[in-house]
Amino acid sequence: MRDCGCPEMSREQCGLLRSIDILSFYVVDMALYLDTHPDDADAQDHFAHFAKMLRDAKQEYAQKYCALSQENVSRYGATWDWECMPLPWEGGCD
Amino acid sequence: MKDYCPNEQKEMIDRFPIGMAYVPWQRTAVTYDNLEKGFENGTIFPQLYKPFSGRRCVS
Repeated sequence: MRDCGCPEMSREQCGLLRSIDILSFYVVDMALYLDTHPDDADAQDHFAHFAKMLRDAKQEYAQKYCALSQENVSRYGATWDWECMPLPWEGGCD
Repeated sequence: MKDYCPNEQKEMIDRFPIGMAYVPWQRTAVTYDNLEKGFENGTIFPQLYKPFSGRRCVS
């Protein structure tokens, strides 16, 4: 079920959003490390692993709730569903 | 090895020009087992977690 207009997030939605936050931070921080350590193969493996988890989580979020970024806009909806959730100042992050 | 990568010679502190500040090289990429802890601490690397105590460095 897709419901992008809901004013309140479910526990599951909040949890998935937090996972995306955590994974995004990991990917950014590991990328900073790799900028100065480009030959660290283990770090590259970790980066690739968590970058994929992040992509999957964003895709799952887009399919269950709403796209967080334009590349995740659903192709399954009847309408263009970008920006179909309340924005943070509209209570979207409460 | 690229120019900006470390090697032992470059890291011998007594060969560095005086009067400059240097940052020791991060040698390992050990991360928190719990990703959430890294998120909350502001770094995924325990080595780099340096909370401000108001008095001195946290080693």
